[in-house]
Amino acid sequence: MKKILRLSFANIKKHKKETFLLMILIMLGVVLLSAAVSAVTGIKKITPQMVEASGCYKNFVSIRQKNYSDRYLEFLKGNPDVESFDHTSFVTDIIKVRQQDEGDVLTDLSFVTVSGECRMESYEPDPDFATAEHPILLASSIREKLEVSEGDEFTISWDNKEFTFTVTGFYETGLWIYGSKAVVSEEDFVYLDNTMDDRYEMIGINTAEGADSKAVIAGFKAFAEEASVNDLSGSFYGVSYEETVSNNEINMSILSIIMIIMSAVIVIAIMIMIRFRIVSDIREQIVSIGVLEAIGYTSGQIAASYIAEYLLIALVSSLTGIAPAIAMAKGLLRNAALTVGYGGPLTAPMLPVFICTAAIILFIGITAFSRACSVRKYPPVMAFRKGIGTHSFKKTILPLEKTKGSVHVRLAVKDLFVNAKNHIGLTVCIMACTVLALTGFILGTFFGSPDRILNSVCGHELCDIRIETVGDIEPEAFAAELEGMDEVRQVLTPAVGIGVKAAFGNGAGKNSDASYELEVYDDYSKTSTIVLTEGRLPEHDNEVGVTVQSQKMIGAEKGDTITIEYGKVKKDYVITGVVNSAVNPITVYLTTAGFKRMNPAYSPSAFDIYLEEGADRKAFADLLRERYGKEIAEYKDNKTTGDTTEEKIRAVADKRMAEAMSEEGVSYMEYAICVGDRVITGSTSLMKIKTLTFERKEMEEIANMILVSFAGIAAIMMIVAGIVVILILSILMASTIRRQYKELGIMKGLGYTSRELKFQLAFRIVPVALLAVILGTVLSLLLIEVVNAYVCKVMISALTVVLLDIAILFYCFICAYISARRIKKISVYELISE
Amino acid sequence: MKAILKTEKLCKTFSNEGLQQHVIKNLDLEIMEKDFTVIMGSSGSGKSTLLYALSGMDKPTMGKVFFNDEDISDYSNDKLAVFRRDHCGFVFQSIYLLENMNVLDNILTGALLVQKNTPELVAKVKELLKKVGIDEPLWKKYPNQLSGGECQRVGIVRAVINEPQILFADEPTGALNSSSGQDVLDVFTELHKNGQSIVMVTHDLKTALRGSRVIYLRDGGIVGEHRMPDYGTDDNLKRRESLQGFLNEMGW
Repeated sequence: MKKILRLSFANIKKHKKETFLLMILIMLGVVLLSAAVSAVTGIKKITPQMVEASGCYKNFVSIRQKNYSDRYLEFLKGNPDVESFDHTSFVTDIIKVRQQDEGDVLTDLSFVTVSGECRMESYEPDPDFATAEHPILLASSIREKLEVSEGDEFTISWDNKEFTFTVTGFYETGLWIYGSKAVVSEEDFVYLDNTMDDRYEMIGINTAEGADSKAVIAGFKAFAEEASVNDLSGSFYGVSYEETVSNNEINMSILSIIMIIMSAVIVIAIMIMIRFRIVSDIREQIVSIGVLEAIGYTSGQIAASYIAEYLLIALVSSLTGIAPAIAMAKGLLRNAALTVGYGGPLTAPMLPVFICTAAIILFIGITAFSRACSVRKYPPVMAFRKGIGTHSFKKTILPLEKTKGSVHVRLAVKDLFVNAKNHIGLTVCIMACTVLALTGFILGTFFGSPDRILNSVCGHELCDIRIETVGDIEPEAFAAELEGMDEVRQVLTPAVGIGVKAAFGNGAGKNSDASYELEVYDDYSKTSTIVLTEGRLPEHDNEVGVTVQSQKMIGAEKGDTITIEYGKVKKDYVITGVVNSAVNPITVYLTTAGFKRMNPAYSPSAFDIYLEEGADRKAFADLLRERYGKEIAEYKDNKTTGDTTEEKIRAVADKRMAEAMSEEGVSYMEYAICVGDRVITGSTSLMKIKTLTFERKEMEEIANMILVSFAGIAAIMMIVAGIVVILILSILMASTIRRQYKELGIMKGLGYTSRELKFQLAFRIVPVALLAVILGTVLSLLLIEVVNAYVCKVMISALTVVLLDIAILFYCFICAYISARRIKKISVYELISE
Repeated sequence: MKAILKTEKLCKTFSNEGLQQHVIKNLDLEIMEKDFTVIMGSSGSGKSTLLYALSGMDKPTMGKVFFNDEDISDYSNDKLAVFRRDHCGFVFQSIYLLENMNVLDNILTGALLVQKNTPELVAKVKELLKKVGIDEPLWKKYPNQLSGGECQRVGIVRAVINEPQILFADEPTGALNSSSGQDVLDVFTELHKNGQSIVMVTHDLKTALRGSRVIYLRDGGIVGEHRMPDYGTDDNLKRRESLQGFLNEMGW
């Protein structure tokens, strides 16, 4: 054993640099694979851990407040499948949180009251909470993202409104299906409720053991729809514990799975490099092998020295990789937990780390064994003759007497064919790296550009300003009035916040119970950011457009007739086109006339305003407020009482009218109030705007939020691919130079310069890289097809792919050229005087 | 005859783990055009080191080497490589044919660097191969399918194919049997007769006899020089006696 190890150490010492590069490659593989597998294993425990720690309910149903009734709860009371349930109100919105550095962070936040939170999970109120002014208790999972500490001011803004809380602390929340959660005081909740768009009732349900929670939720929905006079299709959302666990696991595991794929590429590279190195070692040391055999070493011992060499390298690099792997696994788990709102304690499972490390060591051992056994083919005399295998009696490939053009290119290609077998591994490595780099680049650039998302895959029309109106407004006349303003280019009238159901094949199609968001426009030719992947947008009242994902869910193709249900009315529509939508993936598109077939009373109450180029959006919004009044919520929340009696009376009257209009559906009001001999009059004629939003600007912010993670993953994929290519080509070139030391020396003696030989060596990999890049490109495009099928159509420019392929080829050539710099060190004199 | 190669105070020192070994010491030498210079000396005298310093295979530690009055001692490695391909030919003791290439490819590998007209070049290679006794059946053979003498004759063709101004040979018959060695030396003699400048290192008397000038090295310096009687005017015995006398004088 000692003898074997001595031989191994001697070999390691001789090729220090190559060994070092191989160790980095192995360490990288161990870190990525162990961390990713550990994280994937740990991720499965996060949701149960979250439920146990918080004592929250497992199944949830949310219903828009305007559609909610306590009568629905009758279904749950006394239901043998329901163990316990409770409910609370919450408001939610995508808000901006002001940062200390004056920037804003966009976040999806739900607000509940103390009493509400006590009903949903085992929450113990903080004594400081009651004494603070505008207190807010935040989920600990958003602490890092928002960079806030206890005692900090917490300023949020939404729809041109702003509110400042004081952070009283952080707490571990349980499951929640609407972003992160924050507890606020009853008074502040009332204010938020009045000013934010979405107020819901959340019903938490724990089902009895063995009960089917999905069936309970479905039954609850059916009961609520039966009991309701309203249409619930767009406002009822139920999710079972099993679905939550599964969704959470998928969301949390994406990064880890990508890492597992990257580590698989690295492991392949390791295998190929080790095989190549051992073959090079044996060829280089074949005479020494003969000598060792002659003096009594068995071929088994010599083979064992190679295996021991690689096991030693694997052992040292794997052990070095364990600590970073555990740290990375913790980071991945923390990141994963935060995406589902868990900020509590986490432990990275160690067993998968050790199993992966052991597996890589074993794998390296087996790879080394499979190649090292070839030593047995060389008994001493054959080894002295440098092995029969080194003597080529085959037909000459690419004879130089037929050279046309550069002799360097000819020699490079000749060597490529002579050593074709050795290049299969390199092809696989470069192909795998191409897949990583190309997929990363395509997805990164496609989803990494806000403009691209907004203009190509948004699937939602983005105007400059959208106003929703209240009261008695004639849509055509109002749209014409807006269009008459100098700053306005065009006005469209969409439907807002409508949900429908869609089914194919008499309801027997897929997901017939799912709710789809509905987009309605008079004329889609005037829209700009609803972009098709195939067909055309609806033009007639019997036509419908669907998104890529809606199409999959419905299970219908372009040209099929599907049934759309709104309320209790069902109508058939023909699919005319498929829309690319990453932002609102579950959407269907109808014309106004088409929607009126189901809802004849429909009248648009929203107006999409497109401004002329160069017009100031904010200034125009101020102009709208001046002309049509403030947003209705501002009247409702008006805390200014005024200086004079008249101002005070007007403020109260406006508030009452605003409440009546927004809550009771009143369309017009007037008042006349006598104060002494004075009559104070007013009306709702200046209360036309319910909400005013900067659609494009808001979507840009949401898009930016999505992009950061995409760009990050794409960058990691490309960096890993780049590193692997550098490492494998460095090892390959070092081994090749070592193996062909003599030939290269002779060629130098004949007058070849180092630069020419470097070119020859680097050029040898060009055909290999070209083949690998082509195969890698095909595989990448197949991968992108998967994204196309399940997310949205990724539009790829053929020119970009070709340019990227050329860049990868060039990168491979440059890496090989630089790695071949060791040729410079080959001295003809040393070779000759050996 | 003008000097094709000239050295001034040429020194070559090797360092090994702090120990310095001065192999060539302040050596001044001129190699004449069309001369067949033979460098002799005992083992370790520095003859191979001198040959490689003269041929641009290695750089001197100090001093200068002039090729046609141009100083090549400061050339970069790549410039030296170009110098070698354009002006020099080499025949090695270990022959150093490329094992993975056949006879023709071995010769063309170096030749195609200088001569671009492939058909013309191939015809020239074939003619030269025939001249040195390597006939067509051997052209597609690999080095390990040839005898040592055949390999060395291929090596000579490879060395002269670019019509170098000077041909360097380091113990060209050292690895060959007597009969093969004589065949190879006949080729050298023929080349010299055709006006080829040759510098050859040897410690073999029979090989040295083919030269026109013999330089004797000891401890890195030239200790003696001998001009051989010309072929044609003097018979071989006279040349042998003359060389023998010189070598005896040198203590060989």
